[in-house]
Amino acid sequence: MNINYIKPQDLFEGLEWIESKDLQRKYVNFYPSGVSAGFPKPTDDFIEHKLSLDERYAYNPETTFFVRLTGMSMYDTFLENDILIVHTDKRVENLQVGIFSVNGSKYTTKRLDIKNKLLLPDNKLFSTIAISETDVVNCLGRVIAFLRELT
Amino acid sequence: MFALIDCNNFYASCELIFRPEIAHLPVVVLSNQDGCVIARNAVAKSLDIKMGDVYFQKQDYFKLYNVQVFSSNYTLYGDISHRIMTIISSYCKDIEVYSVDEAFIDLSGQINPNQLMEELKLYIRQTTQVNVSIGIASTKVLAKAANKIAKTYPEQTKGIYNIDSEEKRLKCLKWLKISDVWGIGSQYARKLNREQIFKAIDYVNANNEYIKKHFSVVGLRLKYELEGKSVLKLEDVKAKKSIAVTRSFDKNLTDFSQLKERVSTFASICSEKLRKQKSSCSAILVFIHTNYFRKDLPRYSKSIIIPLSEPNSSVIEITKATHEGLKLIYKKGYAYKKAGVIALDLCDENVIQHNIFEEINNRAKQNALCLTLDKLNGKYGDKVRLASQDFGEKWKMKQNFASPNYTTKWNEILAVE
Repeated sequence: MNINYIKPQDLFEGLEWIESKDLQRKYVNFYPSGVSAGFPKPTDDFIEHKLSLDERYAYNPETTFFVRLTGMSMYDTFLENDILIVHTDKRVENLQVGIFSVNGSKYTTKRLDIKNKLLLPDNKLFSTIAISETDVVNCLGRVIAFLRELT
Repeated sequence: MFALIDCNNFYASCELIFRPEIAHLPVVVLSNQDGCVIARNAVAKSLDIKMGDVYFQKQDYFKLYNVQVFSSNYTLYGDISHRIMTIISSYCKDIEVYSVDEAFIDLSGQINPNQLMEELKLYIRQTTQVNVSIGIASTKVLAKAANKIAKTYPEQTKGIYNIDSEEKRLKCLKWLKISDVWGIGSQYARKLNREQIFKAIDYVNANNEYIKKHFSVVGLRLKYELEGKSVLKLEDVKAKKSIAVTRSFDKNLTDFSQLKERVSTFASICSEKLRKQKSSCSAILVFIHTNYFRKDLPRYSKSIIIPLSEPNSSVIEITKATHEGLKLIYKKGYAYKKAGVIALDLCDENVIQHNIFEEINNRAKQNALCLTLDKLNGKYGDKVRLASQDFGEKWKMKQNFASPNYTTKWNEILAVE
């Protein structure tokens, strides 16, 4: 067996943490009955992709976040523990729901009222946030759907 | 034309994505084992907290100024980095991901690069909450310099700077320290300083023969790049050339059997990573060293490369080589702080030239065993191991201030009212 020694200083200068990357995935068409010549299975012409929740609700994974709702301020649109699907590439339009931070507050889920410059809770027992010209509102994204697990 | 896009205070910015309520406070991220500061937000910088500050020495100061401390959460940073790189690649023909928070892109053919980069910067900010700085120029080295200008003067540049005229190029070269030129290491910078070359402009003014003689063709290429003649192209991102698993221990180890147990675990992680990217390695490097910072203890560091009889990803072969290496470099009487196993000279599993003397049978068996191991570990968590590996929690990385894995674990996603 060959053994090579190398100088320690060479080693440590170049040493760094390396994370192995995910393998690049490639998608190919799959023909269950093979591609040999002859009479093809008639159903092969009708092969479609399977339905995918990602395709419908997270089609841009790089601009999708999931958050878990706590509290009752958006009752009864959302319930506690609902998982909200947030698209960060979408503007929140009038009366749509978004995740907001006002003047460096914690994020909060609210409905945006552009005309009256308000952030509205759906639960009337909670207070409305009025937005003035000097307020800084940071929006994580628009809530486009939610998941609720039934018990 | 090239642009270099660089995330500002990347690790600290990642920690703030889901925590706007602490953005006004100083924020720092600590290295593995919560050792020292490796990232700071602007507020922390203004408090004169430095990169490399040792956490346990600064603890009181941090408390006094309410510094928000985070252990490094590489899972989160990796995910956010991947998001940003994906977004960038949708804005250009060609991208070279240079590091976790930097990418070069090819902007040739763009009619209005400034506007495009403004859009990109805004889009990244909107979709990930991370701010980037962008430097644009005719060469990669100048783009890196332009990026430095954008970062240094955020108010004047609004985070984007384009060296698009001869005048701007000369102004930049007069401003840029030679040690800050991309590709000039600190060693070269010292050498250049001795030659009275302090700024990039001095380097450009030196004659070609002189540069070539002292700094080889690489140095000459750098000169061309600074002159605005593009010679460096975007590089393809290749598969990993080596895989390293290295850790510092939270207490010093003196015992051979303890060390052996640790490196066995590293060897097995290495082999799993290899199989995941379908690579084999042809040599294993093992190293151990004592704590560099404990001047009071005897110091020792040693590494060794053990070639494998043929390229391999088998946990058994790799562990065997690792033990052999450790046995040869281990010395009694030292307190070891860190060890690591590095798989070298990786190649694709499918293009391995088999050693005709090795029993094919044996190899097939080992491959099957390894795959079963990986499957079991995927199914039941990391429970199936070689007998030499450790089982307990006792060697876990010290991470007292870890943030949740907001984007990769369902039970850790952000809770919002």
